[in-house]
Amino acid sequence: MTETLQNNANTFKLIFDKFLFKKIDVKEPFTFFRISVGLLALVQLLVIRTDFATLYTSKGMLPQDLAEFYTPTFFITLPEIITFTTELFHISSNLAYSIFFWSYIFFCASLAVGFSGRITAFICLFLQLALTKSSPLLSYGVDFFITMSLFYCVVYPVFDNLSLNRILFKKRNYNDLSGFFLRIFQIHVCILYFFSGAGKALGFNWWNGESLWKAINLPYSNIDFGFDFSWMANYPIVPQVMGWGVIIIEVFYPIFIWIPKTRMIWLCLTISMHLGIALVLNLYIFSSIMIVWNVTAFYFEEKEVVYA
Amino acid sequence: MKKKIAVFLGVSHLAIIIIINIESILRCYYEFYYDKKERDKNILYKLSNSFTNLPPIFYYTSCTGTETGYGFFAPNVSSQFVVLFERKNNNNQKIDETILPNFQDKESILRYSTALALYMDKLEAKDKDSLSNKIHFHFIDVLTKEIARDVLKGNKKASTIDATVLLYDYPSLQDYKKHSYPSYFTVKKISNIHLK
Repeated sequence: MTETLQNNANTFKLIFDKFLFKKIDVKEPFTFFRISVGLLALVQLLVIRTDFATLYTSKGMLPQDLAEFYTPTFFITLPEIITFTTELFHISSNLAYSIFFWSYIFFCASLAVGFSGRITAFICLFLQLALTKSSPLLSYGVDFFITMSLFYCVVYPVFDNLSLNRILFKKRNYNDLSGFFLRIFQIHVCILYFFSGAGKALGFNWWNGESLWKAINLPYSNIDFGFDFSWMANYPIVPQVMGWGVIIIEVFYPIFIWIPKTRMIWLCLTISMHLGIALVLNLYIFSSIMIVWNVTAFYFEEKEVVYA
Repeated sequence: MKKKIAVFLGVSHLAIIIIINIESILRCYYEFYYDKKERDKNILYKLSNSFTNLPPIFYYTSCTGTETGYGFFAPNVSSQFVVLFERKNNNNQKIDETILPNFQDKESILRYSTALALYMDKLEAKDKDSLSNKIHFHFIDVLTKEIARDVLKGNKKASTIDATVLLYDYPSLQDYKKHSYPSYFTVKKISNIHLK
């Protein structure tokens, strides 16, 4: 009995080890991730370029002391960076804000082209946190995902392919743990969708179509294309089935994404869902980062490789 | 040794994310169907909430972006608010009105609508007369005034502005055939806001 248990434990350990530490060629997924995250973080700031002063500066819509009322005190926020910069270099606050803005753009671009490795990713993360934590009232889901993505860029070996780092410094970051890093990311994506779907499943309005109907008719949704969804009131089964579809796609994601025959189907369904969210709810950057996460985790073929 | 450290760190990272999501899902569920008192009775919620508020966990999740759950639009899609800004001249006559601050970029509207979610606290608060809620509601009013002042600057002929916070209520699927237009319920009106 003890021997059987020991054998079972050893078999489980072997399977666990083989799954977690499979030597996967992560060049493609991690390169795609780095470039996409760098570009999305850059675009996220550029799309508010004209309103940057209104949203995030002391002359804007919200006084800084009110805007960061809910921010934990251990964060270095944008106003603190501005104060520090103006006092150190004896420059105006307007110039300091411009320096911050264009520095963030520079480091996001550097991340995308793979210049200077983890330090670039860390500076991006630092600046992004300084910005979002200075006005947490204006933050939404996409900011948390950009933060997480930048964190992964700091920790993961994402600079080894199609990067200036590789060209200039010939540095290799890949090692036997690269496959493990991808597994952690994949499991994170599965956790994400499971809880997203489970949360919706607990809401009765997701089962009767009312939640989907309400989401597409919010005052700040559907502004760009102005799709007419009034016909759904005559066919309530449509938003109802769409609601069930969202729950099924998300809750069963952690199962079907791992089965080779259903992986691409589930990936397409999930990406389609995010494209729909982008077009109707106008959450373009949020949908983009979610698509990037999906593609990074499960689109690329898991080729085995032996690293030097 | 390297593998063991990697497994420990990776599993810890995922475990924190799972616990954050358990806490979030329970919080949203209880606050939607019951109330905070019922929520606080749930042992799993208490444990997960205590864990996520431990300083090292709080610092880690705040710096890595893992501080939030993934229950977007769950278990229900929250209602949104619209603030009607009416700019007036020196004679207290209305010049114009708008529902948005002076934005040029569309993404700004998205961020602004996120900030307006704060008004839900006023509607959902059970003990509105408690000191903490009074302070919080005063904070929300101050924020409203500051946004209104920024909107006031958008028209140089205006000297004062009124800000009316409205709850946007779109008819449900069932009610749409009876009336197909949204309703607006006044949450708060702040009148005669001047520039400082």
